[in-house]
Parts: sequence; structure tokens; C-alpha cells
Amino acid sequence: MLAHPRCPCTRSSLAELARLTARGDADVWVLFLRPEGATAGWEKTGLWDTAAAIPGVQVLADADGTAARAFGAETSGHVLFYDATGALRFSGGITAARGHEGPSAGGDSILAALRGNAPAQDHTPTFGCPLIEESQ
Amino acid sequence: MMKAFANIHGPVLAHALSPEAEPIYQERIREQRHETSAVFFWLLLAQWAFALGLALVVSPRAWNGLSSSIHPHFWAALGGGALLVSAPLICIRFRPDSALARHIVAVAQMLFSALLIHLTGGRIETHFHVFGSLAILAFYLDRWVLLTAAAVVIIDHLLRGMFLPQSVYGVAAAGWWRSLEHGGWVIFEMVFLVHFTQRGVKRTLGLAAEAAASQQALQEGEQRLRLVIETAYDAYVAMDAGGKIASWNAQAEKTFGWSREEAIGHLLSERIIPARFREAFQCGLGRFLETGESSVLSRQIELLAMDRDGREFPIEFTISAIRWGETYLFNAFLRDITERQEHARQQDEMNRRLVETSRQAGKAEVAVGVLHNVGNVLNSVNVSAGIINDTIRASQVDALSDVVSLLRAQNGGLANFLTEDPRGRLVPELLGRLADGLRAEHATLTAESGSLVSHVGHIRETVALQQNYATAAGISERLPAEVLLEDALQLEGAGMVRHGIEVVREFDMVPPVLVDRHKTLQILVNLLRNAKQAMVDNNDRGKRLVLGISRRRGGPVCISIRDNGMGITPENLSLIFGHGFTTKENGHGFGLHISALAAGEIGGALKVHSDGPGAGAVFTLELPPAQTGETAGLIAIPATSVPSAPLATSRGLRSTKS
Repeated sequence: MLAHPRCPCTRSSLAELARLTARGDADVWVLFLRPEGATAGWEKTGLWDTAAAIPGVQVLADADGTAARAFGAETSGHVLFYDATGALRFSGGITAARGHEGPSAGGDSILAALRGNAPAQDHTPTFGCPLIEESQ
Repeated sequence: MMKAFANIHGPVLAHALSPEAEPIYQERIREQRHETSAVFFWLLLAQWAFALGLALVVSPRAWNGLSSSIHPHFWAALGGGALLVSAPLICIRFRPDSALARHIVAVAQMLFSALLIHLTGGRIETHFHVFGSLAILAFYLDRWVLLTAAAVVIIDHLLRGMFLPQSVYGVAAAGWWRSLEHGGWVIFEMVFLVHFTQRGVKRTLGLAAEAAASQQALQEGEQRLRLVIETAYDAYVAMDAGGKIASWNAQAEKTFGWSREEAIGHLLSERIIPARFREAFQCGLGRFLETGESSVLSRQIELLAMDRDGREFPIEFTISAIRWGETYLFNAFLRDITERQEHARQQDEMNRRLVETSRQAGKAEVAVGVLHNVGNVLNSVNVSAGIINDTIRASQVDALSDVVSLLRAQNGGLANFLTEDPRGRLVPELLGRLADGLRAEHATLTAESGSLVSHVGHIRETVALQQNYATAAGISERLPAEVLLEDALQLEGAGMVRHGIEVVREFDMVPPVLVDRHKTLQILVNLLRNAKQAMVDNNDRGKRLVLGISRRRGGPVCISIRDNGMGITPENLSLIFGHGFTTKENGHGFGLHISALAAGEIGGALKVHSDGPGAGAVFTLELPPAQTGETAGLIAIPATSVPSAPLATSRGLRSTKS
């Protein structure tokens, strides 16, 4: 997941991420944006701590948004799911609406992929703040 | 007003209201709506604050990389909230009773639902605000307000569902059916809210009608009470805790001479209480206010009052204290008893005289009885004296003297005279006849002198009886009841004989009574005389007087005198012991009245029973029994009153004892 450390809607995305990774059968990384010019530690917010508290989740800083740009993630809460072969199976948001926890099309698709099934959707909209500055 | 009312609630409800109930209903509805508006006044402000807080906490800023700006939600909460709050608050403040204010409140409240739903990203949970708001709007008891609110909700959902689905449902795309579903649930709630709103209106109408009826009844009651107080024969005066007059009726004006205007607001003590009692009055009032204790409250008291001219007069009054909030109200009913006291004094004097007169009359009655009996006996004495006189006048003593003179004249020739002389030979025969005649005279004189002594003895006994009762007045004695009754009968015995009355005695064994025998005899003589007179016209059915003595266990000794005379009508039974009541042509109405008083004085009672005209009557004198070992008074049995049945039998009356 690529996330903005101060996006209010991302709290719901992290909650959904915790629900999806509860099975413990996936390697999970959450990369928090540290925009260019931000001081060190700017990304260490409450959301960082929340993500770090999820079992099996590794939290990293995405300096200057390099990873976000690399993965093409424009919105905070964007999740990319790769299977064991390294193939991208899903890309998008895992909340049903802005700031909404609970079942969603994105979450259901990831769960299906984790069970080895084909996800119903491989792309869903993401609700959150922009990761790549709109002026860029 | 009725037209406006009908416009709001329809003709069905309008015609149910009476003119008295309508303003009550309007006031209650107005109060209800004012309260509801007050709730919305603060609710709208609170919702605005909540929306601002929500925006600040949940989405204070929108981030774009390192840069951020105030989140549009905050501006929506601030600006939208201000708009939604200002219009209804202005209406509530300046047009609180208008329908426009209620509809604007309804619109604002439902748009607040929309704002909150938007601020929470279309969270379904926030949609509950819609249903809560509709429920609160129902307190307006105005179905049209509910319809306005429902219309706003449905239109909002439809429009945002089509153009801003994320705002209302949190999703990028929502089908039209979703808005219809939400609208359907709103209509579902509306059906019940409108129904119960109408029920609420009807219930308010009913309560208004009941309140109007109660109010009218209360007003009538108050008016009646005022009228009663105003026309009361007693003066009514109310006083506050400060001692000032609070109420003053017409009789109070008449009694004390002060008009209502001159009395109310002034100190009661200055208006009606004589100066020398005012200090005590103030002390009593102060003590009651301090301790709650009073010796004059709720009691009937007689005191001196004062009128406007300073004239003092006796009054009778009662005061009650009523707790009136934090203080007291004192109510007093007062009556001028000047006339009553004078009347009572005159009554007491009259009673005293009456009792004295009756006592004298009683003595006279007994004396008349005595003289009557003595007179009868004196007749017999007179007869006996005449016989003795005639016998002595016709005595043959002179003839014997002539014979003795003839014999003395013979001077020694007595033998020849008795044997040879024809006259001498008749002397022995003559002496024999004279001896027979003188013997007869002696017998006659002996018999008549014995009768004379007997009659004189009877006179002495009768006089002694009268003296015995006359000298025993005022002393309670322990006496056998039958002795009292027999003595009374002895005094009235002559009347019984003359009227051919059969006297029957039905005496039980009873203890002696403890009474003043003079008064008791007076009562019994009076009752016997009345019984005798009641049977005067009984010639065709006989005259029967039943004298009874009995006692129930633990009760008084009862002496009953039952006649079979003219009887007493039921209406007269209750009046018969009253002063001045009589059915006799020449009666004064004192006898039974005095007898009843005398019965009370000796600790007894006098009762009467009659089954009606022609059925006779029974008078019962109840007397207190002397207790065993009673030492009060004397224990005396008059020496002249022992005979068990002498009077009745000796005077030719038939007597039976049972």
C-alpha cells in the first residue's frame, strides 16, 4: 500500500488492510510518502504507527514519492497485490467509499486472490489524498 | 380564528371545539410548538457546531504531497451550516407562531441531514439523522411540516444520487433505485408520524375540551362559593399572615360597620378587636407563625368584638389557618351573638321560674291528692258522727230515769206496787225493753266510734305521706320502685275509682332505684293523671291501666304506665315533651315537659311510645338503679306506703300481680 501519512481517509484503508492480512499468508509493505523537501521523520505520524502495529506489515518511507510514481499510485491507500509468481493481480483502493470501513469490491478481490481464485475486479477506485502533487 | 383553525386542521377537527375550548387548544398547541421550536433553536446550533467539529477532526486539511489546505468539508460545514442555521433562527426569533417558521425549520433540519451525510462521506449511519429529525419535527403536531421535510429529503437524495453519489452514498456511482429505496423508508416513517401527529392533535383537542369543562366547573364553583360567602348569615373575614384583612363579606360590613373598601388591606386588630385585646391577639398570631401552635384555631370561641362606633358586643367565631404557599391565610366566620346571649339569659330565667313553678305545682298536685283523699275520709267521719249524734239524741235513757223516779215514789210499798198496782206489774217488762234498747245504742255507738277512729287514722297516714315527700325534696334516696309507684297510685287512686279503671300490675324483681322521691312522685302522679284522662272516652272498650316495673341486664329500672286510651299521633310523639305542647283543651303543655326535665334531673329519662291514635300509649320512666352497697343518700321506706295492694282493692279496683 502506498499512503499519505496525513490523509484522513487512509485510516480506513489501513483498517481494511489489517483485516485482509489477518490470515498472515502474505508479505505486506506500506510505503508512506515523504515529499521532497520534507524533514526526516515528517512521515512518522499516527498513521505510520497504526500501520506498524499491524502484524506482518513492514513500514517504509517513500522518499520524494519515488515508489508511488514507480508503481503508478496516485492516491493514498492505493494497494497493489502481486501473487507468488510476481504477477500483478490487483491494483486499487480497498474501501467502498471515502473513509468507509467495511466490505468493498477491492477487499473482496484481494481475498479471492489470496485464496487462489480469480479476483472479481482487478482495479477499483481509491479514496484519499493525492500522492503525486497535482501541480507536477 | 375558527376559520384559521379549520384551515390548519380541517373541518372534522374544527367543529369538535367549543368556543370555550378553542383558546385553550390554541394555547396548548402554541406552547407545544414553542417548545419544539426552542428545541430546534438549540439543536440547529449544536448541529452546526458538530458539523464544524466533525470537519475539523475527520478531515481538517486536504493534503497534496507536502502542501495542504483547509479541507472543503470545513468550508461546507461553516458556510452551509451558517446558512442552514440563520434562516430558521431568525424565523423562530421573530415569527415563532408562523407556519413559515415551522416549514423553514423543517427544510433547514433536513438539509442539515444532507450536510452531515456529505461530511461523513455518505456514511449510511449518518442517514439515521434523517429519521431522527423527522421524529423531532413531529412534535410540531403539524403534518404539513412533516410533508415538507419528507419532500426535501427525497428530492435531496434523488438529486445527489444522480449528480453527487459520493456525497450521499459514498460511492462513485449509485443507481436511481437507491434514492427511491431511501425515499421509501422516509415515507414508511412518515405514514406513522402523520398518523400519530393527527392523534396528538385530537388528544390535545380532547384535553382542551376537558380543561374547558373543568375550568367552567371551577369557575362556577368559585362563583357559587363567593355567592355563599357573600350571602352568608355569618360574617366572613380572611386575614393574611401580616394581620391584614384579605376578604370581607357583606355580613361583615353589616356586623362591624366597615365597608369592604375600608376593611381590606387594613389590620384586623384595628378594625374589630377592642384595644385591650390587641396585644394578646398579636402575640397569639406571632406564636402561631413561629411555632405552628395556637389555642384558638379550629375551635368555636366566644369573645368580645368591636364595631366601627367602638361598641363592644359578643361574637362567636371559628378560625382556620390555610397554608398558602410560603405563608398562611386565616379564615374566620363570626357571628354577633348579642341577641342569642340575651335570649339564652331569658331562657335560663324562664326555665328557672318554670322549674320553680312546676315544683310548687307538683307540691300542689300532691297536696290536692292528699286533700281529695282526706275529703273522702272526712265524709265517712261526718256520717259516723251523725249516726252517733242521732243515736245519742234518740237514746232511751230518759225512759229509764222515769221508771227509777216512779219506783222511788212508793216509799216502802214497793212490793205491793209491783204486785198489786197495775202499773207496777208492768215495770219489769218495761225495764227489760229499756235494757235491750240501751244495749243496741251501745253497740251502735261503739261501731261508729271505731269507724271514726279508723277514718281519723287514715287521714293521719295520708297527711304523713304528703309530709314525707314534701320534706324529702332534693335528696337522693335508695327506694324500691314499686313503693314509688304505689304511693303515686294512692294519691291518684280516687280518680281511678271514679273512672272505673282496671289497674294491672306487672312487676319484675328489680333492684332499688336511687332517686329524689319527691320529683319521682311528681312525675308518676303526672303520668297517672294523663293516663286517666287519656281513657276518659273509653266507655265502650273498657279502661285498663297496666303498671310495669322491669329492667334489662345492666340497664336502668323502667317504670312503665300503659293505657289503652286515645293514643298519640306519630307527629306528636316527637313534640310531646316540648315546652308548651298539649293536646288537652285546657292543658298548658308544662306537665310532660317538666316531667321530662325532672327525669333528667334525677339521672333518668322519660320516654313515650304509641302505635297511633286509638292505640293507647306507654310512658316509661327510666331510673338509675342503686348499686349494691350504695351509700349515697338515705335508705328509707315511707311508713305509710307499704301496702302491697291496698289502694286498688280497698277502693274497689281490681288488682292483679304478675
